[in-house]
Amino acid sequence: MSSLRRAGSIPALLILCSASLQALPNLPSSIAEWLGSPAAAAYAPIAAELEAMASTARSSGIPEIVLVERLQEGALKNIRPALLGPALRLDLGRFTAMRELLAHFDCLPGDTTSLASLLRQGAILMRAGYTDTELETILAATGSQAAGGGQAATGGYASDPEARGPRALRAAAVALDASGRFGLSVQSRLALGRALAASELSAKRFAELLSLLAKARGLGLSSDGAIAIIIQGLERGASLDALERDISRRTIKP
Amino acid sequence: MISATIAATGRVAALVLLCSAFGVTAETRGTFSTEAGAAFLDGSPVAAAEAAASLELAEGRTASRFLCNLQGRAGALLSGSAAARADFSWNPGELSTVCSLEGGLSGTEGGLPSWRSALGLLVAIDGTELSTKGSLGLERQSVDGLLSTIADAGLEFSYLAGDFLLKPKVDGSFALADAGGTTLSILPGLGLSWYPGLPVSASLAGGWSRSYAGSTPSDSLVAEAGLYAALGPAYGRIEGSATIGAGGLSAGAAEAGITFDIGRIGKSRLSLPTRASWLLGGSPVFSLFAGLGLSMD
Repeated sequence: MSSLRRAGSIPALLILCSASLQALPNLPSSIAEWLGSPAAAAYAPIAAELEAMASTARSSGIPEIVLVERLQEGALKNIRPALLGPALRLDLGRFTAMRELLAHFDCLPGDTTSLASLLRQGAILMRAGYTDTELETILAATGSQAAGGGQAATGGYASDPEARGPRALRAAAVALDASGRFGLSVQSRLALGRALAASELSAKRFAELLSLLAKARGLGLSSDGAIAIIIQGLERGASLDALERDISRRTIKP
Repeated sequence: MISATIAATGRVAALVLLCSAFGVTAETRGTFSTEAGAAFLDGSPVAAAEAAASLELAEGRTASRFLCNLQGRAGALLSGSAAARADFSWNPGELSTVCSLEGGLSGTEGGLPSWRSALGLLVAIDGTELSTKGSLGLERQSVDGLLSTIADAGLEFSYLAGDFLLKPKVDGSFALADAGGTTLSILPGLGLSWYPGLPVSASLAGGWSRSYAGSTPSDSLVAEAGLYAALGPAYGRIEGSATIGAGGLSAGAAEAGITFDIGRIGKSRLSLPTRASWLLGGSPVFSLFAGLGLSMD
């Protein structure tokens, strides 16, 4: 079970896209069921530990499928039982933290499939370097409105609690991607994630900031300088067009 | 060039100190960048250097921004140029207004200097999907000793459609030469910016221009294109523009550049800028440049 240490090389959006996919149809839905499958034969020595984790997950309201997926991934990679147990425990901690965050902001999805998807995405972001405190900050930002007011264009996320989780995770993923590609500081990464989450941009437009950053760098602006301009614009409710104008006016040639 | 660089840095520092002395509490941000290297200008080696500085003071919905850029080349002949702009912006709600003052000077040893000064006003109403932008400008310039005054106005709409920003626009300008003669130009066109959600962006703009020098109309097609991309520590840019009149290509420019980030010294960043450019005014000029860059925020 590989750890995603090098956030800089992670195409985070692709990871999140794949994380949103439904589990394979023939994957068992519980750890007990998985332990009975041929793939689990090598993990009989840690069966009791895995059963205990399954029990913790059930009592914490975490769909077991997210643990089963990680177990299956580990088995396919022939991870030794002595390593798989602790790795899964770490993942259980991440899933628990993510669920608590969603519950804290009263934006837990009503259905298990959506919850499992958010937990997967949150755990991936944590493995890539986010702390739960940082994700909490970004999730909290979805509760505020950009200065321009109005939320029609954003899909009304502030009034739809279930939209806040996906929006925050997408903002965090784009900020992580930008951070890896443009060498942002941790502070800039967090500030960008927070500004995106609170902005009036629709979540599906977040990734366009990567294109805007490429243009800013091509025009000679520094990454942190461009991020500062973008954040300033997002905070006043700027559209993509206004952000483009802000970037273009930061350069002058004779 | 070195003295010009020091002077530019000094001006930025002086402005920051001035703001502090008068207790301006605005958020202040300054940038400085410089690069120097070797260039081949139509096959002849020259030394080239450039420095740019900016200072921005923002408080609430108002901001003041000062930018300057100095460039110099030393080869068989010395040449240089300088440009500066001050922007004052106010952004209440969906309205964005920018008033700008701009000036520039350029010259080559033994030739007449060219200069320009301009006053501009830009007003934009920004919606999430649709924006409207109007601009007015007044410019006084001297090119090769010929003085003229130009007034221009433009209207542009920007509509977000998928990954594209579509920008239908119309620009008009009226030029009055001191030596006599007027030129009226109307340029309807369409701009397009592409934001695919990857670290790549492209822009295209094209239009048709009709100019009246006296009562004789002359038509031309104008086009501009730009492509920007980032890949690891490299940032690339390709930009070009062309004006095609009845007699073929009458003016054009193209520049391609790649800058490699190579490291940091404290808060400063080091880079290796490279570029190739081609300029068609009277006779075509081709140049290559490679150097070392330093920038700090």
